[in-house]
Amino acid sequence: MPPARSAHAGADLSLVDLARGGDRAAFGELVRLHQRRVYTVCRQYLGPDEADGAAQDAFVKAYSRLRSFDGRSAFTTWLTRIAVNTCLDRLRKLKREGLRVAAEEENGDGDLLGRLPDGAADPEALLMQRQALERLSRCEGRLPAQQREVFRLRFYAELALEEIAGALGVSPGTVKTQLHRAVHRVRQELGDVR
Amino acid sequence: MNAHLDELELTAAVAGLDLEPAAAEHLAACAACRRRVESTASLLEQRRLARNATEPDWNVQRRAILERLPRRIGLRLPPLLPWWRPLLAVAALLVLAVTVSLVRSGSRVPVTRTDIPVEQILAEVDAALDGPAIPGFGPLGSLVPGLEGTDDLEDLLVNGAS
Repeated sequence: MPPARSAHAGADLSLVDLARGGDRAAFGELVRLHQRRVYTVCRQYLGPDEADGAAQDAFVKAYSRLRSFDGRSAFTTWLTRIAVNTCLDRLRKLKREGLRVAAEEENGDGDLLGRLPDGAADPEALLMQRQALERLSRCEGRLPAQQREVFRLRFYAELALEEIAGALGVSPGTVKTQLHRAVHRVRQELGDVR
Repeated sequence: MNAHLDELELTAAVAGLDLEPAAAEHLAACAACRRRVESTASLLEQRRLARNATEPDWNVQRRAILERLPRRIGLRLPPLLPWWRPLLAVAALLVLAVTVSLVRSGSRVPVTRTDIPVEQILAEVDAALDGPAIPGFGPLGSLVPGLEGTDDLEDLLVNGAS
């Protein structure tokens, strides 16, 4: 573990101890340290409309279960796992209720493409970039569920391979395999494989 | 390593997976291979930026979370049994009870009643045995020509007719 991450983990444990003792400010600090990550993870499953609520739920659940955190994994891994499970519960509920999930709708959605950073000054280059992103978006939507999950957690939530493994409850080897397959498929569909 | 990276190695490089030292060395030195890795990687980065472009107000979110926290941290309760488990247990007990009662009733010796006059039949059989020879059950010698009056019936039965 890199020193910076190790130091974070140590700070997390101290804050967890304080929060367990009823120090709500300490838990507030844990929220401050991890809310961006938790939100970003939720964002990959649920889309922007649901992600905020899911992230809040995940923190409230984590607080309620603080006593069951045994420190065997890093606090951040434990928290991410709660966030993932919260999202999956929400997805099941939304599907039961027949509601459409924004994250899935987003594939091929022009609204997302409208938020592209305007780095390319050349209109033709911008058009090509948009087309490539549309293809990427469609291709992502066609990936098998677990590959898509790993792919998004890796590239869009920027989790490390071990963190993804811990959050999904699978081995790092499985994460590597799924990620490799997903990237290969994406590259094939984008025409990057020559 | 002079040959360019193959597709598996390029994919691994895009995914951030470990490369063989020779492949990593080649990638560091080869602009063509780096370009191929970066073309996919930069597209993924653009999509990440687009997906994560909107963020909530972190302070508002943090306040909302803290307001929702329960007053005390509870011990984690064991999950409740699913509703159907007690029903299943009761059903299993009922099936067991019915099975046991059926087995017990089946093992008893049945008390049967009959209208057959057993005593009378036995008396008739005794009378027939005490009486003259029953047709078809006469002495063997009288049925086989040439054996009348002989004592060789036992030999015949053991050795057959010669």
